[in-house]
Amino acid sequence: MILALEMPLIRRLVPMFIALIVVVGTIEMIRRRKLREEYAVLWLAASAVLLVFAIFPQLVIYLQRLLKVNYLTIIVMACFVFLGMIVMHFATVITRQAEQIRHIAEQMAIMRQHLKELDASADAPSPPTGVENT
Amino acid sequence: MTEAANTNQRARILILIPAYNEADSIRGVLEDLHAHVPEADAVVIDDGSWDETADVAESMGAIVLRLPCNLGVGGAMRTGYVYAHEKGYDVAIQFDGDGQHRADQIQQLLAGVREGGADLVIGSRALGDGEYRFPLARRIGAKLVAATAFVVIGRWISDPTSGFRAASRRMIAFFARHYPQSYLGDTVEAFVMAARHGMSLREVPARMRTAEHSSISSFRGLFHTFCICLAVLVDRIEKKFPEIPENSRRKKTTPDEQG
Repeated sequence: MILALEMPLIRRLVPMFIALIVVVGTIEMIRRRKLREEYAVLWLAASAVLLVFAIFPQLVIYLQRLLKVNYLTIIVMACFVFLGMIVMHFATVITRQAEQIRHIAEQMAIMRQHLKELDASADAPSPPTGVENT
Repeated sequence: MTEAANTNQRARILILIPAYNEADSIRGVLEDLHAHVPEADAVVIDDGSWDETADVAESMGAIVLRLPCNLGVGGAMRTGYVYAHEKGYDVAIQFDGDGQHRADQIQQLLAGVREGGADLVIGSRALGDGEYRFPLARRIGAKLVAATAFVVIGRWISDPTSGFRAASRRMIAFFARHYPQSYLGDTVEAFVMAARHGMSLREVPARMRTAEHSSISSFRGLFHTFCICLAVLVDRIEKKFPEIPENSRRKKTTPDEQG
């Protein structure tokens, strides 16, 4: 474990490059209004973490020693955690939207009935303050 | 509690009938209701049916709420409660569109709300003379669900899955906001939620017709029972809803954006 400081340059550049792509991509998606800020937070956070690890690869070595697992395991674990967070986030968004859809559907049903009642009373004779065009 | 439901002026009653493709039975149901409780209004909540349920109900003079998509029984029921709440009804009766419930049993439910002062009155098949016969598996399932509910709310409800109920004004306001939308066991979750939020429950004996189409196999029945029990236990750990402030809308906080 002496190679902590003599990490090959490519190993530091690749994660940095990936992190940058994610950041730029996310911001570009927001700019084009294809992604709302509230859903972009997780992606930006993930790329920030990636960037930190790219700049300070010693952190990975440290984690490795702390958890007593090898390098690849840490990467895979990090990916799983991130994907898990994304899925969980989507699940909460779906739950919220399902509730909103339910609300809209029931309001629509009630308004449709209101409208029918209004139409019926408009057709009925002698509206009290209606404008008669005779 | 229900000060508006005094006897000096007639309580306004709304019968909520959720219906999904019930064109064959809805006519009989509405005739039954008209014969036995002519003073009540009936609202059929058409849960996105593709048959002529809504048209039949309309031709019978019922109020029809047509949902644009299928929300499930719970969703349809809440729609009915929202309507009852907006129109200021004093009592709402839950009544199935498939002809299982009997209109001549409604008076018992109403008495429970009016004289008994209960917020939610449940018509129970298990009380009374009990000519209603469940298959054994169903009976065991019902007992399990009742036991689970007992653990959560400390009250024994003998017929937890009965959908034949009456709700007071207070209960209507609550259900208009929070009626469980689960696919199964919305009936159980509804009274568990009600009890947890300080509503008074009462059970009265009620006769029902035997549903002829018991298409659920006992294995699936067992699975459903398990799901319902689980849902009820989850209700136990759910946060309680805040008290209902009159005339206020729910607020949603959105993360503030930078300009």
